[in-house]
Amino acid sequence: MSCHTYHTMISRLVDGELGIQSSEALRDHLEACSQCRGVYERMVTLNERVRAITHQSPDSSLAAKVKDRIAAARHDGRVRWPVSIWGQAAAFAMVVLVALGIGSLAGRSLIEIVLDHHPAERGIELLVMENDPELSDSIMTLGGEENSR
Amino acid sequence: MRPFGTEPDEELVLRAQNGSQAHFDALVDRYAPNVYRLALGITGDHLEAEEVVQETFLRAFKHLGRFSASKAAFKTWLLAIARNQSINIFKFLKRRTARFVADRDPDDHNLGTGNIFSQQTANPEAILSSKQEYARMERALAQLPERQRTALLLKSEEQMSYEEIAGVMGSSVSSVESLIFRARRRLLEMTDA
Repeated sequence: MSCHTYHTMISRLVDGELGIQSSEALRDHLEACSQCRGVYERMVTLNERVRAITHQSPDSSLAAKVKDRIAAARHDGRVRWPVSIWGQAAAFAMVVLVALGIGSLAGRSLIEIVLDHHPAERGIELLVMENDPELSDSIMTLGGEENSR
Repeated sequence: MRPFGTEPDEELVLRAQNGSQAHFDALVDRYAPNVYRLALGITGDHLEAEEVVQETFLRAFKHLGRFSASKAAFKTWLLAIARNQSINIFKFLKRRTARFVADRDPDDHNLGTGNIFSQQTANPEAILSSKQEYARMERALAQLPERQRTALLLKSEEQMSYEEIAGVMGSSVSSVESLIFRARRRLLEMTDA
């Protein structure tokens, strides 16, 4: 294995992301190779320096500013209270199940329940209402005494 | 003592999703510093980083209903939002000023007692040298490509695993490993640490 390959392993070791076996192999190599040992030491130092630079605390009022901004956005109606879509989906499923259950008890389909009418009756009503009086007369005639013959 | 200090994120999120403003506020208290540090690392500007923090939490609040703890950790989800916000602002700043590092005098750095560069003697020469070293490292960090810098920040500062970083950045674990290694190699070349 080349020293370059060991360098990538050193980076993973510094991050605690190297497996036990690979760590042991790397440590054996570091004992024997002064160049890779130097890289390891420099990477450890580098990590500490990067952390020293990046570890900066925000102004103590920042969290309060965030909360104020959200409160203002809610007040303006720009955001609403976040309701879980998983909760919404569960609630919707519950409504459908309840409707199906009630519907099956009453011997009616979900569409019938929603329309609150028997589809056949609804169709005849529409036919009668939306067409001219002559047609409704005809229907009445068809259902009348003359048609029984 | 901070309220809800010991409650796990999942519990806080669930309570917030059910309408508890106090639990969402607890998430703000818990993660505002993390979001700020990532935003600062990407934008390089304190004011813009604060803006990113506010915008990130506003978006998180807006879309909290879509968050599912079974898909990702809240911190990962939040930092992914923060990264996207930071990149947008960083691009804007880059266009506007074509600069990343603020033109600060190295003497302006207020090195606290916790800073490794200040853990030397009170010798003025040593202090000057450590400040120069600090400034050199800061410049070197700023010159890294955004992806390398972000991956390194999330590892060094947030102590996130490669897998978690991959979640934030929307990339593979092997890609994260490579980004961090290249970032370190480049920093070593630039600073001769």
